[in-house]
Amino acid sequence: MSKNQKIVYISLLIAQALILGLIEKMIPVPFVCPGAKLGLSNIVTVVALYSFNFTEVLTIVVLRVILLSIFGGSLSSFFYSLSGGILSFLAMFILLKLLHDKVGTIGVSVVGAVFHNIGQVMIASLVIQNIKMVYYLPILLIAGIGTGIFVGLTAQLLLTHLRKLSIMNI
Amino acid sequence: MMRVRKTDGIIIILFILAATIFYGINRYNDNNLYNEKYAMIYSDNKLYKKIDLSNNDFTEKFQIDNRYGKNTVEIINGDIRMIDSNCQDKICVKSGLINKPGQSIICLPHKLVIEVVGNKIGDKNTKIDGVSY
Repeated sequence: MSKNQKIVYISLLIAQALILGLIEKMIPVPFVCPGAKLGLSNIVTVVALYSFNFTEVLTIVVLRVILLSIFGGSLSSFFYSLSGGILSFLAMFILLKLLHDKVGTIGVSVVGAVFHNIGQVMIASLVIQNIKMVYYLPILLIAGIGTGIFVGLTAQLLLTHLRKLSIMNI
Repeated sequence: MMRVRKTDGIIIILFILAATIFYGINRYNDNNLYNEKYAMIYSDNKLYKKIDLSNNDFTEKFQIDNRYGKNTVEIINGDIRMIDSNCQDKICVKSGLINKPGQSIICLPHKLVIEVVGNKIGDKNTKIDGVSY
């Protein structure tokens, strides 16, 4: 993939993550917990993790967080999304580095979703200076598993088709 | 078409275990008996009001306005809940009734926290400052 092709592909991924994030805002979350989200944008992050290196995926995550808060959120939601997004990205990246092929997209996505929720709640507990986080951890973990499985399946479907394109070096 | 690796299952099981352990810790802490219960309401990170919840027979409804928004709180018979809020997702309203020490209702966009605290029976170290008998 040439440099220009890479730029276009990365931009497409960021745009998709942005759309997914906007759609996600219209879906009510059935969890009574401040900060839990469906994390649909993680589908893009997972796909990117299999195609690109650390800096490129980090760029995608940061840019989609910035764009999403410009298009659909407030300044405070920017900090929650940023901490959740970066923590989940780091967790997924480390997991992939450690386990390579032994872990499937579902495992990666579950870890990503859980750490995304944890990251958001950590910042929330800083904002209100209240560390009752332990109370929300059980719900966060279960919610993360649920959304992570869905995200993982979707990402795997995407990757299966993307692999057929010779231009992708997956 | 769908490849699920063994490690995926291990990860999921580990998280479920962690969730169960944390849930167990929460339940264990909740099971302590308390002889005094208070609802502490924090608005914009400052203590706004402290309400005695041990009295079971009174009902009160009031509105809290801060620079982020408006919230309406109601106390019924020793339980406290958020009846209304002009925040976007209204998770605080959906939280329902709380009455046990450790439980909390949080309206994050409005920086409003309602937390129930209490003194355990036989415990001299209280979380409440300045209570006089």
